[in-house]
Amino acid sequence: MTPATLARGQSLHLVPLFEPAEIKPAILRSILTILLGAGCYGFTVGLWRGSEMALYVAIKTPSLLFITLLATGLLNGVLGLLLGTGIGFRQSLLCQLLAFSLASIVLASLAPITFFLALEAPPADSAQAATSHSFYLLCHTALIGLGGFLAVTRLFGLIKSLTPNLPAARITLLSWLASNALVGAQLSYLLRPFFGSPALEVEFLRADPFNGTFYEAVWNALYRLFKLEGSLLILSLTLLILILFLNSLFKKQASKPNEL
Amino acid sequence: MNETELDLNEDLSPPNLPHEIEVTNFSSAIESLLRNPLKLLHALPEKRHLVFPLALLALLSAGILGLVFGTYTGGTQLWAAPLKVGGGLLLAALICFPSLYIFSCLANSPLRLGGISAAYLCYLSLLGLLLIAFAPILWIFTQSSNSLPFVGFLALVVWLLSFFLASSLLRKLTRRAHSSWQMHLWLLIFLTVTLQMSTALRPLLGNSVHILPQEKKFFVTHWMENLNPAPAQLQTNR
Repeated sequence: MTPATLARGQSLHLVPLFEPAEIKPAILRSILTILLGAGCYGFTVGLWRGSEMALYVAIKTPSLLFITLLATGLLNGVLGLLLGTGIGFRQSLLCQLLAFSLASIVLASLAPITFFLALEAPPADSAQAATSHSFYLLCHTALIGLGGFLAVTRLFGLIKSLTPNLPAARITLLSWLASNALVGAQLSYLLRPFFGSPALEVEFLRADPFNGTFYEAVWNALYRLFKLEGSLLILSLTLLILILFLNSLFKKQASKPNEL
Repeated sequence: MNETELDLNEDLSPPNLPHEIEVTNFSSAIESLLRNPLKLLHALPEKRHLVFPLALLALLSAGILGLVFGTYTGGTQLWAAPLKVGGGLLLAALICFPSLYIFSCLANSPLRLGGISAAYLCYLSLLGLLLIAFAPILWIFTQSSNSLPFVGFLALVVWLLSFFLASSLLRKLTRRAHSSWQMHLWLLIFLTVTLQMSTALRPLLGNSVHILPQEKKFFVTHWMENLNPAPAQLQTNR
């Protein structure tokens, strides 16, 4: 299983990984990919506040993905069985690990660019630190969201190959997207700092992790940069694009026969 | 038969144009790049001696555009701007390559790593050719105008036009059956990186005490500041 195989998401190459003899090595390879890929990307995220923060975030980013998987794995496993997909716990776990591996690969491929961004963003002790932090937060949130979204939707063909029930495959995909996005985003807030507010010191974890939510932080960053109307417009457009994209994905996949 | 009617069976292609371009040397590679880039893409794995000249073409073309920028101010900018534009394009191309590979895989491109590298080289070479083609026009304006925002705007238009014209080639080379949104997304990322690179290596146009900037800025902030320059900044420009 190479990064290119995973990125192409062709069921023909991925379904054999679900054989009992292959599932354990595939899980180990996925874990290694997440550690390396998300670790590299995390390093560039933290670099804006210096090398100490870069090291912290390099450790925390793969950890965030694993904790998200732990938190949502049970729910997604139960939903998979409940919806009649026939995807068991171990298969569901591997599916989600593959999705997180692909997200890590996408993020790692963007790491040279985000490294450049970290070096070129106005520093945390400059006059534009607040604006810079808001932009930095939104930019990385968009990139991480994009990586996750690309990864989960790319593996829709795989889910479809594992289950004969197309409506169940759709609901499974939606539930994975929703649970990973909602839980992962809030967990990232609990494990903050990732970007490091300019007014606060660099530390591994904040002393008050449950003070606020990820969504409030994103809203505040949007509001600082684009004011009320601009923020509402951006959020509405993002939502619209997501809906249109999912709609076209489902239509396209419904018209395709199973690749197996 | 009416004189205005055309005989559909008649071969309307100009007699002197070759139907098949054989990629053998650098000049035929350039011709193929403009007429039939797929042919060049297929020929590159065998004609490896063309890789270096094509890469050099992309870099030198960016350097020539930099020289045009440099003539706006003269002095140190005559050597600094070509180095910055050439070096900036090289750096942007290098840091964007890993994401191009992954995004093309996400787009189900049939090309492997070697093929993607060859397609990228063709894209950058075409971008370079387009920049050279626009350079004389831009030079006329750099010599005629004293307005930094105006010349900056023209330089941006030239860059965007070259970028969009060359982008259609990359989409054509990397796609399987239809244009994919993943490649459009990557092109947007590449465009953003090049625009930020131009800010990171400023001034490309105009004058400054320092060759490289002392203050870090996002490119949009830099543009806004140049559209509404502070009085002190007005005196340092040109």
